[in-house]
Amino acid sequence: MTARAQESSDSSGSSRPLSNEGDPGTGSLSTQLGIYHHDDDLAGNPFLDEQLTVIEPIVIWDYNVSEDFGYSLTASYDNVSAASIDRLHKFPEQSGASGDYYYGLDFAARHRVGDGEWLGWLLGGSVEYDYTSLHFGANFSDESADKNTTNAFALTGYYDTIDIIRFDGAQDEGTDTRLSLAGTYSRYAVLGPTWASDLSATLSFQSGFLETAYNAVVLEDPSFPANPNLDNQAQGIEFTEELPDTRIRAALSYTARHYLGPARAVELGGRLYGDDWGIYSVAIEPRYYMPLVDDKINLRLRYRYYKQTEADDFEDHFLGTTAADLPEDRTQDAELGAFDSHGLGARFDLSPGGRHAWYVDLNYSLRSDDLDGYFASFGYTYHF
Amino acid sequence: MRIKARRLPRRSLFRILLGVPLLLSLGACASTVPFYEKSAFSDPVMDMADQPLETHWYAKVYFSVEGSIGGIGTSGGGGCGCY
Repeated sequence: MTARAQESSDSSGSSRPLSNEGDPGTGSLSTQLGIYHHDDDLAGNPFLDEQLTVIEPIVIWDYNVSEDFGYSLTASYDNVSAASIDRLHKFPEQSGASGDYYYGLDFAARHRVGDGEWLGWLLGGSVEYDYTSLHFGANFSDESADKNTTNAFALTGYYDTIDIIRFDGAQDEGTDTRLSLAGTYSRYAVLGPTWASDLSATLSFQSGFLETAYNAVVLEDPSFPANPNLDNQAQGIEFTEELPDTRIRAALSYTARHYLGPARAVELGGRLYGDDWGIYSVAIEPRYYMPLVDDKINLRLRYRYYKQTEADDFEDHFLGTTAADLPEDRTQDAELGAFDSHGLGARFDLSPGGRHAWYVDLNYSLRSDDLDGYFASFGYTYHF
Repeated sequence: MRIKARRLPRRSLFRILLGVPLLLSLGACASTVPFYEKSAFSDPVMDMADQPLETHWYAKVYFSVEGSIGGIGTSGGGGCGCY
């Protein structure tokens, strides 16, 4: 993924609208099957089994209606197998986390409004076991006459409604809402005869229920009995996770690519991030593109280093005997803790010619907190 | 909706926002390359446009395991909010 892509929450939330790449009446149908898995083995949060497997088929229909108008329709479904869901079956009094399904549907349109100028908008929604989400946005891009630069602006929003189901199955808090707004500026630039770059800056604001409803923190004391609901049988009592109801995030990313020869290039991308919850992160991602079989099979290799600091409210252990010993805001979510990771990936693009294109993308990530995982995707695109 | 007051670390945010124009200046370094010197850009390997399927999937994966990804979608806090 380019650093810019990290600022996009999904395919239709791109920071700039795609222009029509074909004649009127042409388009593409793209499909992909994604698989993600990580084990736990007491990694990450030691109190919680965080094993997770996600299988996601997705379909994108993209069509150029005229020279000045095109649209895309994205449909996705997630099948989720998670330890947090299994707990529902073992302990009926506990929550089933987010449930084991996700449906998403997005519609995005693009309109030419001038020479090199495109205006896009999108509308979508998704449904899970315990939330619904409305997704909306608009974007504008302006390509210079010499095609050496493209400036783009995007505004994206989500309005979510969450059914609050706590770790112990409690649902007495009813529902709550969450509003997320993000603005992104991006700039593509040709730097020289063999150099191009992509810069992106995103500022986002969230308000509402920002906790993960079923997350818990564990108050530990030697006087407590071993808790069978905890993965490590610790002597502790679970309490709800509590986090602030607002969050401001800022991210900057930059990618430069250098052409080396036919189907061969090298790229370096980086991303800096900070938010007012105290998380700062850096990501560095070099990539290398090379042909395996001329005009048939191309290979992309990538390495990704990522490091983040922990949130101000994150603690590995909360010690005490009563709820009053806990801070008002608290979390033990491993993803809000400090860690670093090393990722390796290889993508094979197969273009046998004509209207068909295939790819296989394989990735593995090693994390310092041992929540290692792999993800892969298999895709096919038909151009018509 | 519950709203809990929280003091923002304004100094840290200020540093980040101050860095925006500095990095933006990197992107502003585009040179004027005439079209006859851009033959490399006819090679698909120099196409830096988003690949929608990959963008979607990578964002979803990282967004479920890292605290600094996402946050503009269906995960409120960090990490496993989505699952």
